Amino acid sequence: VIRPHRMLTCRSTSLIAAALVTVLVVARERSALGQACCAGGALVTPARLALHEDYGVGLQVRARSNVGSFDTAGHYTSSQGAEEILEQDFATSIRFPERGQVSVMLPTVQTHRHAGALDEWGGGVGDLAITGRYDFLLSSEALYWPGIGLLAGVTFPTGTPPDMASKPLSTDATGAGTYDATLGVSIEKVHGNAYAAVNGWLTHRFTRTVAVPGVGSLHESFGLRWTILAVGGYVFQSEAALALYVNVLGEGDATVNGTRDPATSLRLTTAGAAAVLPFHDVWRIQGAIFSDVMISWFGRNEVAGAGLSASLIRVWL
Amino acid sequence: VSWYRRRGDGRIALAILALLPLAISSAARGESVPADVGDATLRDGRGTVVPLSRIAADHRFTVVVFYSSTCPCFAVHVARLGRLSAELRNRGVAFLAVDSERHGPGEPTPPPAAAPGVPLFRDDGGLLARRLNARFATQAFVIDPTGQVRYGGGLDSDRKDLTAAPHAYLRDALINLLGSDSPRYATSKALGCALRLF
Repeated sequence: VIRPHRMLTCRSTSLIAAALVTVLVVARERSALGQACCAGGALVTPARLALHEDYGVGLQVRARSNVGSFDTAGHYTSSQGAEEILEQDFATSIRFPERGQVSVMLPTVQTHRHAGALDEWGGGVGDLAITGRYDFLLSSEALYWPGIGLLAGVTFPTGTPPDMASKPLSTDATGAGTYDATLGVSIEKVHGNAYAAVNGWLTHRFTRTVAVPGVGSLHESFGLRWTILAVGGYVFQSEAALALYVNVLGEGDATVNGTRDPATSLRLTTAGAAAVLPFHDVWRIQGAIFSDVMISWFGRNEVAGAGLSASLIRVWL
Repeated sequence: VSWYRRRGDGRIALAILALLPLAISSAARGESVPADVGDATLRDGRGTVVPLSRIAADHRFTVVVFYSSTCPCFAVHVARLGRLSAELRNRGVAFLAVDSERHGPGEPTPPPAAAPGVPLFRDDGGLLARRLNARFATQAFVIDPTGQVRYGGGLDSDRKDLTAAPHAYLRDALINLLGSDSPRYATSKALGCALRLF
């Protein structure tokens, strides 16, 4: 299951350089007629195991800078302060059974915020996520039918939620504070060198209790979250691949102490480009550059920004 | 209390993380080998339908390698397959490649041979692939004169990027069988592309 880029970025020239190198090297790959065998699925989900890969471990760095936000009506406004988030994810994946795979990802998050005279850094361990997928039909097994897979995931609130943060600008908040469970479907197709996929999933966030000084306990439950990820790309004979993607998420109204709050629904649209470059069959690097669509209506009650990510993955066949 | 609760959640999560590799067994390295080829037939380049059992009966061992014209993993193994065929042909080993895939309109006509000394046969409807549970290009089966399958798996331990000293599973199995031994590995993992059988 894909975790969209909810965490934001710090402008790192080295990361930009790494992503550019990835893109340039991929762009030089010689195109040839051939089957986009196995690499397309790793474009936007670096920890995903490709065909024949039994285990994998990976490190991902994601950096994002928030430059604005959407209000409850969906209007976009630039922000006065600054917010950068740097996230490092450790991920491991294992195939079980032959058509299934399970991944565990543990992030660490560092946040920088600047507001008025305050300039603050904070961070820590984020929310641990366990995700899985089962492919009933692989994307290249049928002439016309697409590959069909089931997606599932659980997130554990191992990070620090915003209400438990202790720093003035809450930069030590690293998690959502709730368990959540996700179920979805993946449809993807490889035809020649072309790769396309549409993934959709629903996430239920479990109720949480927030202690508010002077108010008491607030019981907060959340609307169902839906996410759609569409990817289109090109896989070279070397199995290097390039793709463009769009990710849209929405969430219904939250309920606080039994009262539905119509001003709490969420929406965010993100577009990006991703590349993956495998080498020696057991290593691959993946990079992506992305931006939320900073136009009114494309978001609601969300911060908006742009960023990039880079991953190094080692797999075992 | 909530601090302890959160710490407890983290410990549960870390325990799951630590136990995952123990709780989940690794993927099987090989496949179970089907018993025999039965009455499977193949069509040669001239359109003649030939029972595989008849080809097998004429040789000490017959190697069937599943083919894909679009699989880079097969393409990089062509030279190795040709060399292996040349090495063992005089010892009574026949090599044939089998195209079981569905083809769309406009796809090029497959060549008469998949590698030097390895003629290409058509498996109409993918019946042989289904009988042998073959699902990947480069997957190879060794068949004895009675039609019994003696080995099923990969050509070697390489996938697309060839190494200097791979584990030559197929060659080792053939050498064992030619020496009247059972293959040390009767199965191995085939690392080619998924066959387009549907």
